[in-house]
Amino acid sequence: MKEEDPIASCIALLGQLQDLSDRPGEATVRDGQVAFALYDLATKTRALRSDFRRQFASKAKEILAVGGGSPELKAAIEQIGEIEASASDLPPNSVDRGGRSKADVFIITVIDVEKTAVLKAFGVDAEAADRAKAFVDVHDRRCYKARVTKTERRRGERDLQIYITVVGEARNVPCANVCRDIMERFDVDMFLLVGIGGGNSNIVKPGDVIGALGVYYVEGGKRRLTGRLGNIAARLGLSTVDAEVVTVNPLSPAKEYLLDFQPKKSEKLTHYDEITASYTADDWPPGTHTLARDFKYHQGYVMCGEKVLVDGSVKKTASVVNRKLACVDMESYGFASTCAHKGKNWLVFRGVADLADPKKDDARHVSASVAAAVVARSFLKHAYLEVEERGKF
Amino acid sequence: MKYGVLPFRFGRAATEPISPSFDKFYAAVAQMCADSNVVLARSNSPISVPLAYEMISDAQLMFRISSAHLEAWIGDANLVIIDLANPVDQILPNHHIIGSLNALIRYYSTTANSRKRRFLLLLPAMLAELDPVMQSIADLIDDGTLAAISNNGISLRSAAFGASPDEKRYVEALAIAHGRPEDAIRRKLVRFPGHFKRYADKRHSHCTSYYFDGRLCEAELVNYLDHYFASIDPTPSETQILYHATISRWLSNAVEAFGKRRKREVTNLALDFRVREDVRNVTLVLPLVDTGNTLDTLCNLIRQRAPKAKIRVLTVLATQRPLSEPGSFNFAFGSEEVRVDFIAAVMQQRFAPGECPACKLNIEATDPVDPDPFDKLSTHAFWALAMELGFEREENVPPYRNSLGFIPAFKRINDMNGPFLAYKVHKLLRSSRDLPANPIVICPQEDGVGAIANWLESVFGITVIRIPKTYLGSDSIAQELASPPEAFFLNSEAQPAWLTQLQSLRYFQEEFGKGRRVLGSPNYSVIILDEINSSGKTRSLLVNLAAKFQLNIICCMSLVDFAPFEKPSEMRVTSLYEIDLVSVRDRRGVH
Repeated sequence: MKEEDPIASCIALLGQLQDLSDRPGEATVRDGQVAFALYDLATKTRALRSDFRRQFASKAKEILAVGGGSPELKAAIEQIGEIEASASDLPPNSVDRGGRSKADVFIITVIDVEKTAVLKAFGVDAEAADRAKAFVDVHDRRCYKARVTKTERRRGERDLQIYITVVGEARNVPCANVCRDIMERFDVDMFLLVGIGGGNSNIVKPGDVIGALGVYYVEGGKRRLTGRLGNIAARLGLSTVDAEVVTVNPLSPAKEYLLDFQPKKSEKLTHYDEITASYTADDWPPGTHTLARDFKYHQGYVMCGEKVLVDGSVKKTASVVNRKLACVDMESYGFASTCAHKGKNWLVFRGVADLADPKKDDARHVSASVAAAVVARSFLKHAYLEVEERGKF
Repeated sequence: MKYGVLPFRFGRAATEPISPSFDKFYAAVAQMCADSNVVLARSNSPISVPLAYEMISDAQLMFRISSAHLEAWIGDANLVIIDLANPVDQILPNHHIIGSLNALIRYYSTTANSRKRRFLLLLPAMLAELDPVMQSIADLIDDGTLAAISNNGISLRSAAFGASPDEKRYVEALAIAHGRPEDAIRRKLVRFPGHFKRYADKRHSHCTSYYFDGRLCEAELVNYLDHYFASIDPTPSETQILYHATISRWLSNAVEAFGKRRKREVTNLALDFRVREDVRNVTLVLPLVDTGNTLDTLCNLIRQRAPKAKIRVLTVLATQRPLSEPGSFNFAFGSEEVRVDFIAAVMQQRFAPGECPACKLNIEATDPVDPDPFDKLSTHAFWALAMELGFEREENVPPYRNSLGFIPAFKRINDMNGPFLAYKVHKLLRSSRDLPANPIVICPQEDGVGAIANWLESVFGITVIRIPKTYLGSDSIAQELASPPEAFFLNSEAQPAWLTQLQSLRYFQEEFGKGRRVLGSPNYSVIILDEINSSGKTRSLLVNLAAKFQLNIICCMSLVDFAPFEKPSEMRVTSLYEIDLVSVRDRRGVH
């Protein structure tokens, strides 16, 4: 979808304001028109970086040579004043040279239940955030702002700027598209994929959380008809398909941070309990809450494919691909390969919602999402270090 | 004699009331088949039958739905007109369609008070006699039960049928029903607002605020050229047809299509200045005559190449003429005058360099080849429309929200820019992949959005269901939902059109359900359209109404959204333009 550049919109609106203020006519009507143009400008500047917002707001005030006017116009002018003030409050390093906003961490979730858990884990009330406009829309996708404050962090010198969004659709390509959209608008240091997956019952139990040391994409393949087997297959009119496994590993320093990271048990439990208390009883299928409460954190590998597995084949694949393969999902390859392609740090945290076997159901979606969100927040508090502080420790 | 009509409409999703012009057309056709005065059969539902894809490929389904329509009125009718040839799109009947109609005709010619009942089949084009489809109805034609007639007047009938439509009169009646092509051209012209810089001798000569585009009326323009050249040009071999289209691809498409249809050579002077020296008549077709500079240059060049030719000019648009019917004027070049015929007169404001408001605002020049690069309304376009038609204080503020204060006069904007805004709505829906094969739009029945809905219906063939505001949120439709789905065929005369349309969707959902369930959802998907959104109340009432009829919502669209940051999360919400007015005013308590 082709959209107008917001800067071009704002320039057009400044021109319009100038035209309106120079235009003779009945004062009431003109004030109404000017107020309308100011609200339009206020709406358009929301998409801009802070210094541009400030400049456009100042320019609008200059044009209007503020003073007098109807209550309607005064209210609109106050609105512009607010833009100017709020833009000034933003830290000076919040944009890069390309006009992209800076963010330390961008958390991607895939389904709403994951998004809700992450928002709760980071203390974001979505309704209040909507009212207070504490979000940014990227291609109509709402990205909520969150923080981990300096005082909460074990190391680091400032609050972390975090954004949280939801893809809304399973599988690799939608997830990759969302990552690319975000990279167009934000200069992000690290992407986290936080959510749920199916587990390898040799390693994990439902409710446990995996921090991914790497991602294996297992559904690629190539037809081969070579060697003796190939000859036999050819004679029989059959063919063999060799699975072509592709691996993506986190870049440095994300991988080092992950290797150093172990969530504190007490904090993990407390935080889990706090979040679960904010859900209603209807969100919890009987028994799943307590079962997941003492979840364990593992470091392992994530297997990714395009299909929902319910045949218990994860163990079998793990025995061929990597015995530390602890979890299966449908997005981590798209996510990881996009980040790797753009040279961005990335990590995946997956809560085990089921064992990808015939007993698979949705009963533990909430508890596994909360567990993964708790671990992700713990990681940012204790292990992550912002760009400017790296190398000092 | 009493007649009834079974009007199929291809490309529509719901039933629709038959337009008055087609009511007259059917009456005229019935009269051609009668020796005495004709009247419409009692209870003939004046509504169409949407010819869905499922019906085209399933003769049983087609039979069932057609007979449900017929059962409501056929007992009284001596003549049944089956229309497969008329708007929005026509379709050449396949063996499923004819197979079901064949069964239908045989059944109703022998049952349901069948005293000498005749059937007249209206087709877009006559099928060959040896066509298997035609062979299957040959005996019905032979025994006088059935006659068929095509859009160009070719008919197939036997003497036993009795009085039947005269070919010439039929074509004339059809042309009247379809309306004159020039009226359609004027209706479908899109006026793109923008900042258009014009050049003369490679220098910026002036700016204009609008670009007139005929991309939506190319087919009508071909028909118009057909009539025009037939009337002015009795000896085609002596006339050369030239046209000049540098940026107006729509004109080029139309003239080339006309050339192919009539096997006439047409030449675009912008690409190839090939004027025959010996030609006796030259007709030059232009998209627009504004200042006359281009016309003057072209006429002089043509005169140099063809000194003896009689030059005549047809322009689609002319400025500085009274805004009325098509007309003509004389244009002087050199020592001569040429007659210039024009189809539509339009208003165009010209600004000298330095005086153009858009130049003063540093607005980038719009490329006339692509005058509308964005899917949504650009800021300049929105404000150009708003400033042209003025602002007014919002009237009739609903009790549940604050006034929006001074806002653009949306009713006037919609009335004046209907084709452009409908084009934008269609473009946005298409680019965001929200446009299904047979789209249905549900909107409130009110002046503002009504104008856009009319254009969406007439130009883009979208089915529009207009809900009166008094019914939104009322429980009066609960009773209607309890009635059997097929009852709407019987009740259509006694109830409002919107209710019949919604009931027809419920009926077709049940009929098509089996096949559609295989594809995913048996339910129709609809687009909710509103003029402005501020509190979201109308939107939610329309959504609730759609839910009562089990319709899926594809997206909710408003022309202008005054609460763009208060979107419901459970559905897609989009708009042509967004200004956050509601939250700020509510926060500040501005009334």
